[in-house]
Amino acid sequence: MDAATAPADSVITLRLVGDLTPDSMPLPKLLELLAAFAKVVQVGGAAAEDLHLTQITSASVGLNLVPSEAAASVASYVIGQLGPDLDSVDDELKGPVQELRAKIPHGTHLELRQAVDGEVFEARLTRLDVEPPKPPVITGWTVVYGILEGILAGKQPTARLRVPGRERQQRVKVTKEQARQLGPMITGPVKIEGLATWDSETWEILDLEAKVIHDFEPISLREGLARLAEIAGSAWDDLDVDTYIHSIRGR
Amino acid sequence: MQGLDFVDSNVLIRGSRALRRTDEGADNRAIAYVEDLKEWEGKLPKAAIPAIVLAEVLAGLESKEEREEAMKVLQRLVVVPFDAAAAHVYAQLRDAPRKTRKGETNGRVCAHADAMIAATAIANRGARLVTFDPSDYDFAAPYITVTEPPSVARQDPISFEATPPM
Repeated sequence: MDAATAPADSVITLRLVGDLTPDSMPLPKLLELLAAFAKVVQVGGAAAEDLHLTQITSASVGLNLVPSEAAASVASYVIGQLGPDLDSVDDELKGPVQELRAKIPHGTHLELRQAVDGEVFEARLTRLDVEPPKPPVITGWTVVYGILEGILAGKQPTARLRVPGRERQQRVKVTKEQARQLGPMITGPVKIEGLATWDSETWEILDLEAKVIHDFEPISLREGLARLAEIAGSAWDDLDVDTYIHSIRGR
Repeated sequence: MQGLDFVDSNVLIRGSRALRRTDEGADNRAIAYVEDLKEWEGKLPKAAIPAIVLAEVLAGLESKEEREEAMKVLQRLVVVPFDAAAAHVYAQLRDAPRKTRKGETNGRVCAHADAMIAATAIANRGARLVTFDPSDYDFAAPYITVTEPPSVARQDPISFEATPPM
């Protein structure tokens, strides 16, 4: 992109001021900060390539960016909007400005300064603590099967289960009485019914509160089918299985 | 950790029938698959039965007494309920256009019970859905492996005796 460069006096200064140490501002964080600022300008209407660094000196946390002519005017407009609060900021800029504020290291604030044609635009942004977005959850009754690997005692006893299809141990909140009931079952199979909270994207059970500890003496599917065969007797001998399944499913 | 196989009604009925008589074809494939599972050897179950499948199997029995007796037995297997997570997956499956295994969309939605069975398996992060009618589950193929019991060449009559106690 062959953008025209703005006059030298339109240089934008970003200055992090406060409790800074080399450890608190590693390069990735600095890049995130710069990228977030570039996005602010970009959303305002300039291209991301319209900003680049200039006049970098050692021992300086101040960064001078040289904008293109277009980016210079956008930046001054945006910086001019960044008053003591965000109420006056255009709606489409609020999100990117919040992202920018979230990138400011703890214990610092960010000063922005730009002089254009003798007019000075300044803003001071404080850090905004943004909670990472939580996945939507679903809550409901369920049953889990697994191997009981241990019970953590304490104010809130917790049973730890190894469950098929789950990488991590499944933790189950149990009452003290349930913990006593589960004690003899350690290393054995368990069937626990309770109230679960799922991550609706991964279907991981985030929280499970036991309501019923079942007496569970599992048999293999092979043995279950053998007993079923005894019970069914000859009833299924001449059954057209496909027709039966299709009829019961309303096809 | 390996997820469970979720077993369809046709595999259970055929497998059970294979234990009553020497048969050829699908019934033998069903019981051979079940025998190969070697469940609980690693202390964990390998197969699960969606509650909808349990309902279909019970409905295939002739009397109340048989159903009650079967229920006692089948409760000792891993029967997985159609819970809130499965309901959420079900709604997504029913909402999506039905896609064939070749990736074509034919505009039909999946059948009610098929979707409930598949949703139960997906919500429980099942490894496979094992059925003799994989084409009925084309809609679920993007989310779970749908497979038939493998072919077998069985010569010996199958013992009617139950497996030794674990």
